[in-house]
Amino acid sequence: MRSIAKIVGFFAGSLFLVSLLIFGIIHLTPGDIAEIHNLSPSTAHQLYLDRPMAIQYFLWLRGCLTLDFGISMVNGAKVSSQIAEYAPPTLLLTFGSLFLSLLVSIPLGVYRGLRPVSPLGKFISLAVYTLSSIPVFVLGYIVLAVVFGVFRFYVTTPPDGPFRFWPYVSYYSLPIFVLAVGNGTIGEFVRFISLEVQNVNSAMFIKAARARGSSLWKHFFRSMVLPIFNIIVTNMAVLLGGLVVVERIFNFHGLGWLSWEATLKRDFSVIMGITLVMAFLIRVFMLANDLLAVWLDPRMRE
Amino acid sequence: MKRSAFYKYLKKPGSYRILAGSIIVGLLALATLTGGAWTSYGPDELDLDHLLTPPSVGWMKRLLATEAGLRMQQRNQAGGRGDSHPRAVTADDEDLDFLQGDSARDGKPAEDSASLGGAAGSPTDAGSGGEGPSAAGAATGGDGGYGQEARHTNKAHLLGTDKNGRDMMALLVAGARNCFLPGLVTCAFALGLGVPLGLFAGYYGGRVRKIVGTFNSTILSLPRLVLILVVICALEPNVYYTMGVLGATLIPRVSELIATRVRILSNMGFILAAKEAALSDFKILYRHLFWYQNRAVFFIQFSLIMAESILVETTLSYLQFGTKPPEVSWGNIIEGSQMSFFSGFYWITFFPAMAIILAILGFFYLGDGLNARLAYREGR
Amino acid sequence: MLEVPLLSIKDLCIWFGGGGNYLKAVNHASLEVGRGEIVGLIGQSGSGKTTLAMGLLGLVKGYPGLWAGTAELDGKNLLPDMSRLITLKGDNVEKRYIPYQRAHRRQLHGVLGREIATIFQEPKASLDPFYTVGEHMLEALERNLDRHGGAATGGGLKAVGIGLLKDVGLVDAENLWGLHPHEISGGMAQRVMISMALCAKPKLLIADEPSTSLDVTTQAKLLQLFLHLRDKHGLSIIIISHDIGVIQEISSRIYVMHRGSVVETGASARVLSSPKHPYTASLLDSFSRFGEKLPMPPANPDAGKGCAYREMCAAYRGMLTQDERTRCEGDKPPGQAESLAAAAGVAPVDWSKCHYADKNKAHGPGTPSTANMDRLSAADGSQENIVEVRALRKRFSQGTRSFLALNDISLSIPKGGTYGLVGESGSGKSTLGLSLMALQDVDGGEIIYKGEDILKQSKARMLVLRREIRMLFQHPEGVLNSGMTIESILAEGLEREGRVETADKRRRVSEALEQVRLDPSHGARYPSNLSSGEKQRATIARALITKPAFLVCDEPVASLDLAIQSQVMSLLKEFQRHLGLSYLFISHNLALVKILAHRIGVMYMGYLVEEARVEHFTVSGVRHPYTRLLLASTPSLDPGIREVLAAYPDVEPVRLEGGCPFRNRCPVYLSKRDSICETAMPPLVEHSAGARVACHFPLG
Repeated sequence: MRSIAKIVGFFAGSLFLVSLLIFGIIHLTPGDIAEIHNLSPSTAHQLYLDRPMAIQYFLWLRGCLTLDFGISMVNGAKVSSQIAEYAPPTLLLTFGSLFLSLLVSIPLGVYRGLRPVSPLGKFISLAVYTLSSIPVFVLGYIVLAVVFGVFRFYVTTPPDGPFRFWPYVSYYSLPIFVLAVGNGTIGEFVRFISLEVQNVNSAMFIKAARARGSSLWKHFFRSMVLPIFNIIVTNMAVLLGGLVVVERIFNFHGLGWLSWEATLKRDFSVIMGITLVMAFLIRVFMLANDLLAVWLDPRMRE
Repeated sequence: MKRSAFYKYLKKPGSYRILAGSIIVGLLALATLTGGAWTSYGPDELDLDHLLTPPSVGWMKRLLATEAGLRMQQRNQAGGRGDSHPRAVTADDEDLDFLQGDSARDGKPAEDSASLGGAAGSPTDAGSGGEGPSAAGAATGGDGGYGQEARHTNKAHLLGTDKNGRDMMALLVAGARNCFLPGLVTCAFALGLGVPLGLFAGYYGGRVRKIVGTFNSTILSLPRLVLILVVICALEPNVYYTMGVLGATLIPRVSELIATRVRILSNMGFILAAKEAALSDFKILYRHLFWYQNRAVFFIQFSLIMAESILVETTLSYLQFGTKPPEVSWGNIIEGSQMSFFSGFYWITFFPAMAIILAILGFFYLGDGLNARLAYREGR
Repeated sequence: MLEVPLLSIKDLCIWFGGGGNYLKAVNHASLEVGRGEIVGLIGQSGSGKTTLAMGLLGLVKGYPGLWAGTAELDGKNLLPDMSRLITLKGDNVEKRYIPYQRAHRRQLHGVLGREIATIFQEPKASLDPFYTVGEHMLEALERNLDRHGGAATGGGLKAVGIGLLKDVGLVDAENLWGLHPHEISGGMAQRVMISMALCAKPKLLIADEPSTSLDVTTQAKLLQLFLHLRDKHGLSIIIISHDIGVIQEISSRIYVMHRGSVVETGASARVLSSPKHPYTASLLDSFSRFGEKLPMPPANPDAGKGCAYREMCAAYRGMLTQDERTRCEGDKPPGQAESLAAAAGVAPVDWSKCHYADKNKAHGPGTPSTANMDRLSAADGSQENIVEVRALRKRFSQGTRSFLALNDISLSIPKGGTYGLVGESGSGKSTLGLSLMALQDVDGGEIIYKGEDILKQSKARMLVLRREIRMLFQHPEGVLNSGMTIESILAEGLEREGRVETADKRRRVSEALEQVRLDPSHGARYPSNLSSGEKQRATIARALITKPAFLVCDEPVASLDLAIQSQVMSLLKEFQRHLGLSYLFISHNLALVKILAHRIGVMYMGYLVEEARVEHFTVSGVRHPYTRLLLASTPSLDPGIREVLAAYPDVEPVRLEGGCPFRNRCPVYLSKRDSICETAMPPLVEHSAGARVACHFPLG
C-alpha cells in the first residue's frame, strides 16, 4: 500500500514539475507576449497576462485542472475545445501505430533474441537498423511516391460518421505505417525485446525449468510482460513527438498538426495546452507501468 | 594458417559496422571541413541557364528516372537547354501539378493548376496549400536571396540542379556542414551534462540520485519534438537553440546509462579499493569510473547522439523551424521542393534524402559497432 | 560392477570452437553410476565437470563444435545420433548445432525432470522470481501426476507438496508455500529445488556444486540430506564439486577430472587414501597440506611428449627406475577411451591415467608438514598489540527494521601475528574489517592503531595511516580496474607519498611484483590477461607497495581454486615471517583460518561468541556450541567429526531479538530450555587460560 501511495504521489509531483517547466519556458523567456500578438488589453486580461508571474501560473494551473487551457492568442477560440476536436484522430493514429509496432516487433524480436547469430536473426538486426535511421519525413515521401506511382490513388479526406472499415483503413493505414516504422519505434521495440529475450533465455531459472522438463512458455511470458509494457511506455514520448511530422506530411488534422501550426503562429496557449495534455498522457502510461510492476513483481512490493 | 591483421580485425564483432560507419562519417567530416572548396559551383551560385537539369551521371539517370521524369527530360531537351522558363513548355503536363508550389515564382498561370483536381491533386495541399508555408519559402526567396548568377556555366552538374539553378552537389556539401555543427552542440549539451550527472548519481547514490532521477523523469514525460516546439515558440527559431534543447532531452538517456554502469561497477570492489588506497573522490570519479571504464560509452553515445541530432535537425528544417533558407540544410532542400519527386525531378529530393539516410546510418553503424565491440571486450 | 549401471556414459566428447582449433571441454570421458549410488565428480574450475553434466542434459552454453560418444540411462539413449548432425570439419558450427539441439531435446523428452533431476549452484536464481514456492511445487507435481496416484485434486496436490517439502527438512512448509524466492534463504531455496526434483520420483539426481554458495553449516546439513535421500528413495546421485571435503563425505565412488579428461576413478575411500594419479595426489595435498608451496598441474596435459604430469609426480621423481622413467617421458599414458577398448567395453572401475597405476601408493599424498606449528612460537613472545578494538558498535537500518551488525566488539591483534575472524555470512565480520579500514563509519567504540584512535584522526593523518594499514579483498577481478594496467594500479598507492620520480615508481612497482612472485613484465598487462591466482597476487602487491604494517584480509582466497588458495596462503605466511606484517584474517572457513592465525575470534550475528588461541579450536576444546558446529561443518578428511552434527537441529539462522541469538540452533538450550538464554545475552568472559566464551552454559 505504501508503495502505491508513493507511486501516485510521484505521478502528481512530476506532472506539477512538467507544468512548471512548460510555463517557465514560455513565460520566462525574453519578449512580451501581449506585444508579439498585438493583443488588446481585454484579451490580455482574459489570459491573465496583466498579473504577476506567480499568480499567472497559479491561475493557468487551476484552469488546466478543470480542463480549461485558456483561449488561443491568434483566433480566440477555446484551446480545450480545439484539443478535443483534434485529439481523436491523433489517438487513433498513435494507438494504431503502437499496435502495428507490437504486432511486427514481438515475433521479430523474439526470433532474434532466440537465434541472434542465425542468418535471419542477423538480417533482422540489419533491417531494423536501416529502417530506424530513415527520418519520418523522408519515409513519408517514399511511401507517398510508391503509393502514387503504383496505385495513383490515395484517400485524403478524413472519414467521418460511424465507423466503416474501408474508409478508415485507407485513410489511416499510411500514416500509421509511417509513424510505426519511420519514427524508429519498430526498430527500438525489436532491439529491446530481443535483448530482453536473450536475458531471460540465459537466466538461471529458465535453465532450471528446462532441466525439469516443464514448459518454458509460462515462465517466459511472465518475465516478458513487464519489459514489454516498459518499452511501450518509454516509447510513448517518441511516438507522440513523431506525430508532428507525420501529420504534417499527410496533412492529417490532429494534435501534431495543431502544435506545428501553433508554433508557426506562436500561439502560446495552444502549444502549452497540447504539451500538457501529451505529458499527462505519457505520465498516465508511466503510472500504469509502475502500478503494473507492483502488481506483477513480488520484489517490488516492499 | 597466417592471416593478415586486417582479416583478424574483420573477425571481431562489429567491425563491419565500424568500418562502414567511419567511412561515411569521414566523408561527412571532410565535407564539413572543406566546405565547397572542391565542388564546381558554390551553393549560392545560380546557373540560370540550367534550371532543373537532371544529373549528368548516365547510369544514375537510367536507374532512377521515372516514366514521368523521362518525358520531362525529353521535353526539356526538345525545348532547348538554354530555356530559362522550362515550366512554360510543360504547363499542360498532368504530372506537373505537384510543382505548383515550386512554380509559383516562375509565373505559371494559376488557372492551369486550378483546372486539375480530383483525388490525385489532394496531397498537394500538404505541400502547397493555402497555409503556404512551403510555397512561401520558395516564393519569397527570389534570385537575390539565393546569391548571384554563376560565371562558369560550361561545367557539368554532376547531380543536376534545382529549380533556381543551384548545383545539387554544392547544396549537399553545404548542407553537410549544417548537419554536423548543430550535432556537435547537441553532443556538448547531452554529454557535457549527462556524463557528470550520471557519474554523480551512480557514485553518491541516495539524495543525489533522487534529484537526478526527478530531473530525468520530468524531461522524459515530454515528447522530444514537442518540447523543442515549445522552446521555438517561446524564442525565435534558431537551429543552435533547438539543438541545445535536443541535447537537454538526451541528458536522461546518457545519465541513466552511466549511472547504471557506475552502480554495477561500485559493487565490483575497485571503488572500495581505490578509497582504501586513499584516492580522492575526484580521482575515483574521473580516472576509475570515467576514463578507464566509461570512455568507450562516451564515444558510442557521441555517435548515436550525432545520428539523433542529424535526424532532428533535418526534421526541424523540414518543418521550417531549423536552418532557414538561404542557409542550406538537407531538410530544407526537401522542404523547398516538396512534390518534385512525383513529377520527375527526382534528383532534387532524392539526393538530399539519401544524404540524410546515409549520414544517420553512418553514425548509427559506428555507434552500434563500437557498442558490439565493447560488449565483446567486457565479455557480455 | 556386476549389475547393469543406471547411467553409463561412454567416450563423451564436447569440444568448443572449430576449424581445427578446439577447446576440449570434455575429452573422451566415460562415467558410470550404479543404482542407489552417490558418485562424486571432482575437479577444479575449467576441468569440464559441469560441461559434462550439462552436455548430457542438452543445457550446455554456447555452440559445441564436436559431439561424440554415447550415454544411456536404464537402456534409453540420451544423446541423438550424432554422426548425421555433427561432423569434425568446418568452422561454421552454429548452423549445425541447432538441428542437433532439437534432436537432443526430442531425445530427452520424458527424461528431463522425470528420470533425471538437476539442481544447480545458485539455488535462489534457479527459482522464477515471479512465482511462489507453492506454485513451483504445483507445477512440478502437475507434470508428474501419474507418479502420485490419487492426489489429482488441488488440495490433495498441496498436501503432497507440503509433505515433500517437509521431507527435505523444511519444517515450516505451510508458511513457506506462499513465499516468493526472494524472501527465502539460499539453503531453503536449494531444499525447495530438491523437493521439486523429488516430485517426479526420479532415478538420478545431478547436483552441480549444490552447496558452493551456501554457508558451511548449511552445507553440512544439506550433505546429510543427500545421504538421507539415497537411503529413503533409492536415488542415485551425481555430485559435482571442486571441494574434496564435500565429495568424500557422501560419495561412494569418485571421478577426478582435469582439463576435460578423467584422470582417475575408484572407490572414494581408496582414491582419497592412496591416489594412483599425481594430479589426485596434488589435489589431496592442497587440501591436507594447505598453505604450503605445491607444484602446479600442467595447463595443457595433451600437449608435448610423454606424461604431462611427471613434473609433479612423486613416483617419477623418486621411486621409478631409469627405464620406467623413459616410458613416462616418451609415451602418453592411455586415456579412459583406450582402457575402455582394451577392457572390451567394460568401463574399468578402479583406474587411473598413469603408466604405473598398479604401483599402489606410488603417488600418495605427502604427510602434513609440521611447518604450521613453527609460526606459533613467533608471535608468542610479543605481548604488544598492533591494533586494539574496543566496544565497537555499528547499527544498520533498512526501512523500519534495524539490527546491530557489530555489538560491542572488543579484540586485540598481536603485533607480527594474525588474528583470525570466523563466521557465517551476516555475522558482521566483513563490517568489522571495513570499520578497521575506516571505510565504514561506526556508531561507537575505539580502534587503537599503535596508540592512536583511527576513528578520531584528521584527514591528513588518515592519508598517512592508509599507507600502513592496507586491505586484501575477496574478488581480485573486482579490485583491479579492468581498464588499467597492473603497473598503473600499483602506482596509485604511491600517489599520496607526494611526488615520486617515474624511475623510482617503476622500480618500486617491479619490486612489489617480484615480492609476490610475479614477473615485472606483468606490470604492462591488463587484469583480464592474468589468471585468477595472478590477479590475487597482484592485489597483494598493490597492498605491499606502500610498505604496510597491518593487513586486513577479507576472505582473500574464497574465490580461488584450492591449489591457488594454497599458494596465496603460503605467500601470506612468508610475508609475515620476513616483513613482520600483522594480519586480521577474515574467513568463513575455520580450517583455513587455523592455518594462519594465532588467535581466532568467532562471530555470530554481530556478537563475538568465542575467542582463544588457535590450539583451543578442536572439537573437544571449544566451549561455545556454535564454534563446535562450525568446526564439525567445515569440510575435512576426518569423517568422524560429523557425528557431532547430529545433535544440532536443522534450522535456518535467524536474527533473534533479546537473549542469546544462537539459541534456536543450540542443542544445549533446546534440551535445557533455560529462560536465561531467552532474556540475557551472555557476556564474553574469560573461561580458561586465554579463552573467552559468551555462553551461559559453555560446553565440557
